[in-house]
Amino acid sequence: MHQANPVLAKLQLEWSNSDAASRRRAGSRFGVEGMSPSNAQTKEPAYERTSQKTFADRYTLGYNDSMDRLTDVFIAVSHPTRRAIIGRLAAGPARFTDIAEPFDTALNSVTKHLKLLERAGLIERKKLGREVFISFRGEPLREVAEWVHEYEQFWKERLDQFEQHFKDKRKKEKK
Amino acid sequence: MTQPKKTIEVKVERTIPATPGEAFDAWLDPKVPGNPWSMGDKLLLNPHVDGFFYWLINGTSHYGRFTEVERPARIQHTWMSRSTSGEESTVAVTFQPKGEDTLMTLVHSGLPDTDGGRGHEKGWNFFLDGFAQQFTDASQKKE
Repeated sequence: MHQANPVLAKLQLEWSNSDAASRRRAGSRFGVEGMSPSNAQTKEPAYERTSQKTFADRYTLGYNDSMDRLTDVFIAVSHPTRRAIIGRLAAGPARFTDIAEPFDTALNSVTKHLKLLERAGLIERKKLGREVFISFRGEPLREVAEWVHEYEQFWKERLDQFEQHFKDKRKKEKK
Repeated sequence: MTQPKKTIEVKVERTIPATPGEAFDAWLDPKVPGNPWSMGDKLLLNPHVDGFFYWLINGTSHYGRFTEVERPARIQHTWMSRSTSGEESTVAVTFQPKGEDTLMTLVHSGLPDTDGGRGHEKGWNFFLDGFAQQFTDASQKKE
């Protein structure tokens, strides 16, 4: 059993005990793809930030603060193991041991993947009794889906209004 | 060694109930709702080849230079703002006759995809596979 494994127990303890900030710092220490130390140290977890968009955000086609958050999400979903972990968690919350079990990869590698997923706000930990359960959060993926269309959004709205202007004009002319 | 930069292209098409000439003129007229110039806080617009525009909206400046102005078929200009990370993106608008109407096509190309670098590239492929929707749906069901 995994839980009897002292290495696993240590890794799980590290995962469970570290606060969000230290996990982000750890991410940079591991030198995981696309993560710069400054990036990792200064940002709040994605899920702690507001997702409310202002008018200016929407109409400046912005690479704004939300881009950093989106970058975290893109990085998080860019690895097949992390996608598999999301797949597992989409079925329901799981313990660290449940998540690690199917993977041949080293256990500390699973820890790293979980850290990146948490940094992107795609997972969260909840303590139930003595056990920590990890669950999936879909909100950051929805934000990314919105961003995919952000540039399109601006021009679509412009052209919709432009089209409507001429439709109204033609209606008036027909009357 | 310079690597080609990753860029994004956005394409939007609409059928405008007007002639190409009418649509063309209206696209450059700040009084007509729908074109970008009709909104914002400050506008300087000189829609001729090598003419510039300055468009301020909600504290964000946008600059560009008209590179093609061919009535009634085509308008092309560059587009720079903080969202283009210092790079010149390009907006090309074409107006083609479509029966009594006009097929208007807007292509905004050269939008930088530098933030997130490799993560973005892989992310796009991921989303093109429709993976996101699957999990977004799954999450919505749970809520």
